[in-house]
Amino acid sequence: MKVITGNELLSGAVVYFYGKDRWGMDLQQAQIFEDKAPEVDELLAAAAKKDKVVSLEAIPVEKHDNQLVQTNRLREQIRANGPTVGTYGRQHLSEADYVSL
Amino acid sequence: MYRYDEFDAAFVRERTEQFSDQVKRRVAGELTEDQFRPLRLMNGLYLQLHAYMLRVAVPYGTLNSRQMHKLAHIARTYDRGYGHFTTRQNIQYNWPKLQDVPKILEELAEVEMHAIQTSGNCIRNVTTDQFAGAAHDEIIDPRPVAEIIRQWSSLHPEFSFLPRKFKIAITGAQQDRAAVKFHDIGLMANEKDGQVGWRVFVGGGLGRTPMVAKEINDFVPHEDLLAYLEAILRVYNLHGRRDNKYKARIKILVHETGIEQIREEVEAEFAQLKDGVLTLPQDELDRISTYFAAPPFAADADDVLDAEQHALENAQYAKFLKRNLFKHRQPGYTSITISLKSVGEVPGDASDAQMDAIAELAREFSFDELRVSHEQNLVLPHVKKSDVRAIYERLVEIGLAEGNAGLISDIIACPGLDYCALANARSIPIAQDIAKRFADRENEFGELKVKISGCINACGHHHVGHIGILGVEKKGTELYQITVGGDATEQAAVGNILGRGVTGDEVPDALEKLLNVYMDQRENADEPFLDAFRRLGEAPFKEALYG
Repeated sequence: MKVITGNELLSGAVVYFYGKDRWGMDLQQAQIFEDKAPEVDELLAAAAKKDKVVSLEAIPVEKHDNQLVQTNRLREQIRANGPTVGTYGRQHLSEADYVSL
Repeated sequence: MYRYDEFDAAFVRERTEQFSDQVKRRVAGELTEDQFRPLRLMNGLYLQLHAYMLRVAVPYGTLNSRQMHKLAHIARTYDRGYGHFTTRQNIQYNWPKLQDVPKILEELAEVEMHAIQTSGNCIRNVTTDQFAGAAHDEIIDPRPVAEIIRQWSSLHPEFSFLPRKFKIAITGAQQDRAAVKFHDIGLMANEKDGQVGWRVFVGGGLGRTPMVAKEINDFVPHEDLLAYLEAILRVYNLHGRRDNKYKARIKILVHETGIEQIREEVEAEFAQLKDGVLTLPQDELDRISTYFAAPPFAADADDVLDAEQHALENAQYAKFLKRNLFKHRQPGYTSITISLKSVGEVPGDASDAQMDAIAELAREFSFDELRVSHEQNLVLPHVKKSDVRAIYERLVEIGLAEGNAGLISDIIACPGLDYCALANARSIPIAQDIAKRFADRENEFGELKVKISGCINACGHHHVGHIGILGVEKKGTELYQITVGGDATEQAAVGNILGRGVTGDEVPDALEKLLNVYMDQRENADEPFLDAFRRLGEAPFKEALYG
C-alpha cells in the first residue's frame, strides 16, 4: 500500500494527499492506494503540474487494526512526527501567513 | 574585521531584491519548482525533511556582536528560537517559511551578511582556523587573504557553474586547525627565504571517496595566489567530470589524472595568468589587512591564571580552564572556546538568548570579535586572562560553560536524519548518548575527537574522527559503521573501518570497548588515543569490537 506525500510550498510542511484535491498533515487521513494502482502516477503528475506541493513521492505504508496507517521507514516516521530530538515538533501549515493549499 | 565596500553592498542588495522577486513569482505560479529550485539553492535555501533550511555564510567564521545579535533576532523572529552552527563555519536555520526568506536576507544584508554561494556548484564560503589572528603559533593572520579569496570568488562568472561544489580552507599556522588537507584546495602559510607565501594542496575531500589533498606547490607568493587559484579552477572546470556527480569533485580528477600532470596543466595555465590582472598588489593586501589589524591589547595585562587554586575552588571551572583556553599571541590574553556541546544537547545548536548573551560577551570582553569553529563551537578570540572568570560565570548562566573542548563529548555531528533530506540515519541522538555515557570520565581519555555523519556525504567529518561514526540504513534499520584513526590535522589521515555496523543502542558500548583498549594499552597517561592507535594498529581495537 502507498500514500502520496510531499512538502507544502510556502511552509515546507510535510503533507499527505487526502483525496479529491485535499492535502493535510495527518498521515492517518491519507488516501491509501494499492502498490500498483495506476492512478498514483497520474495523481503525482497532476500534483506536480499544480505545483503547490513539492518533493512529491509515493511512500509505502501499512494498515493495522483496519485503521492505523503506519510507515516502517524511519525517515517517514520522522517526517510524520518531527525530529526525534528537541521539542520542536513539526512544521505546521498554520505557521505560514498564507498557505498555498 | 572587514567592512563591505560599495561593490559588496550593491551585489548583496541586488541579489536580495532578485530573490525577493523570484519568491513572489514562485508563489504566484509564474515559476515552476523546477525553475525555482536552482534559484533558491543559489541563495542557500534548501528544502529538507520538515521545512526549508536556510544556510547563512559566516565568512571565514568571523562575526561581530552586531551580526551575532542579528542571527539571534532572525532565530527568534523567523525561526524557532535557535540556529545550528556547522562544520563549514556557517549557521543554518531549520524552520524558515518561504515568504519570510527575502525579509531574512534583507535583515542579513543590514549587517553585511548573506547566504550567497552556500549551496550549488560554486566556490563556497572560505574557512579558516578559528584562532586566526589570535593564535600564538601563527606565521601570518590568514584572514586578509581569506577575505581577498572571498572577493575574488564571489559571483565569479567563470566559476558559478563548476562540475561540483568547491571548498577552500586556509590556515596561517603550522598546526592545522582548519582541516586544509580535506578541502578541494587547502592553503597553509609557509616561509621561504624570509618571505611568507602559501603551500597549496589540491584534491582533498571527504564524502563517499575520502582523500588527503596532495601538495601541488610548496610556495606561492601572496601576489600570485589569486592567479594560481584561478589556474587550478580553470583546469578543474575544463576537465572535471560533469557526467557523474559522484566523480565530479576535483579530488577524483587529481586522483585519476595524477598530481604530476595536474601540476603541469596548472603551471601552464598559471604562466598565462601570471603578472596579469589577478596579480595582487602589496598595497591592496596592506589595505585589506588594515581591517584585520590587531586590537589595542593592553600591554600590562596580567599574564597569570592560577589554575591550581581554581581547581581547589571549583572543579568544573578548572576543567574549563584546562580545556577551553587557547594560547594567545599577546601576553596576558587568551582565546576562549565556548562549547556548543553541553552534555545531552544538540551539537552546534545555540538558542537566540544564548546568541545574544555571547554577542554581549564579545562586545564587553573580546574587542567585539567572535569566531565559529569548524568543530561547531564559538570562540572569543581576544580575552584578558583576568576576565576569564567573569566570562565563565556568564557562560554558566546561559548553560554554555562546558569545559570539554577536544574531549569525547565535544562531538561534531551533522543534523542527520532528524532534519536532513539526504541522511540515512540519525546523528544527533548518537552524539547525545555518547556524551552522556562518557562525560564523567572524559578527562581520563584526554584529547579524543568523535565525529558523526548520518550519511556518506560526511558533513559530520566522520572519516577524520579519531573515532568516526557513519550512519547507514540497512533493511530499514539504522546501523553505524565505526572508524578509528582519522585525523584532520597536518598529519591528515582517513580512519580505518573496523567492521560491520552496530545499532544505535550499541554505539556507546562499542566505544567503551575501544576506549578500554586504549586505557589498557596506552604507554602512559600522556599518550593520546590517536598516538596509541598509530602505535598499536587497528588489530586490538578490531578484536575488542568483534572478537
